[in-house]
Amino acid sequence: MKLWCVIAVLALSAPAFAQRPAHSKYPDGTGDPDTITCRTPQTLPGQRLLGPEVCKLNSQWALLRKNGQDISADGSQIIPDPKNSAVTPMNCTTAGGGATSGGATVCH
Amino acid sequence: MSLNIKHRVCIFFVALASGGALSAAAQDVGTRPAAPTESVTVTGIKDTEAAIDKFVGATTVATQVAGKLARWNTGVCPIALGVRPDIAKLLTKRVRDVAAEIGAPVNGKESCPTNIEIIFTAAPQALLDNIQIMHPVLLGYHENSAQAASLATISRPIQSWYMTATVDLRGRPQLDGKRAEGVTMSIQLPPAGFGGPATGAADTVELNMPGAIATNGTGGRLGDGISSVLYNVVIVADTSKLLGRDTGTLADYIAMLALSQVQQPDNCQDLPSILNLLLPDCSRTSNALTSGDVAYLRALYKTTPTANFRGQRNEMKYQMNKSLGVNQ
Repeated sequence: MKLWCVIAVLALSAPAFAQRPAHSKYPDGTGDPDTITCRTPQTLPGQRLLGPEVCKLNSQWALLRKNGQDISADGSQIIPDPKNSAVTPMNCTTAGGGATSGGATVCH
Repeated sequence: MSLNIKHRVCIFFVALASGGALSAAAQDVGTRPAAPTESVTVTGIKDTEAAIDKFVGATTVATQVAGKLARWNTGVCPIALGVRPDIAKLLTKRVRDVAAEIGAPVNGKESCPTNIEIIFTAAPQALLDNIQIMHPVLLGYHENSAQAASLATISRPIQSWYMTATVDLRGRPQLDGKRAEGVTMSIQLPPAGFGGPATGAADTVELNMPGAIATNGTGGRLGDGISSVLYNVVIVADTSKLLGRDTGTLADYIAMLALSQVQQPDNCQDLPSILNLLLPDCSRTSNALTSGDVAYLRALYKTTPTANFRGQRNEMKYQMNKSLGVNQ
């Protein structure tokens, strides 16, 4: 009887466990666009305190990343993505080379 | 259903009388000299009626939950951002004035909770991305992220998004939408300005929705006695595509979008309307609200709120025909 009770409790609580949102330090929006992923709390600027957990749909995280953006540590606003802002696109050109060789690619 | 004898006798005499009239007319034609050919251009009644029919069909939209026409049942309180204060004042005053003229409720208080946000920006898509990420409830009813993304795509120089609510018999509004929440929120706007920079700092818009009640839209009809209302309208104007446009004209266009859940037409409408303003190669437009536009808005606010969508559309057509002198 006790065993059945335990099984029943586990079976009923399984969906609750399954529905818990995924957590990530840096959600990139991959996965089901309608599933929520939470970013783990970040340290608030100039403080030792942690900000709130920020939970968004994967589609929203994906849009943020596409636009080179992130959400502030306090979760209140959109800011430039610190990981993305340091990266600047490279300007590459191909110089020299003949019909058979590809020449040299120079990137700035 | 069979006709009784009285009706049959009546129909017989009517047929007899009309037959006589027809034969008399035929004889008349035979004896009368041929009349000179006249050129009469028949415009007006039939054309106007058809244009009204088409206009109502093209522009009205049913709410997703109740399936009815939505309109304001609380006082409108517009705010304009991204423009000089004098232009902002003109825009909001025009929306209030038109609302009062057409029978929509107006919140006369200076510091009222805004429910119409008119935002001018040179980066409308960035603003909509912001809304989609931070405040998707403002996009209006959507069931999933694909629908939200579609709603949040800018496709016109001036575009509007409608939050609607369903009002039950007790007059209690419930927001339409899966993820609707009662919130106060602020949106930071990209620095831009129509008619010059608005302020030194970036503008923010505060949205206060104290009465909002979170609900899950089932998409099912809730029965008779329910109606749809507008809860919040966001109007975004792309300053880069509106250069040289008259502010008064834009104010009228915005008023049309603010006071009704308009599906902006893709094609030039036969009924002269300010909604034709931003359509390419459309001559039937105006620099101000036309008599047809005013009739449309008045008709919307005269419809029976609890009637079904088809009935409401028919009521609107009837009212517009009446206003514009058709079917007199």
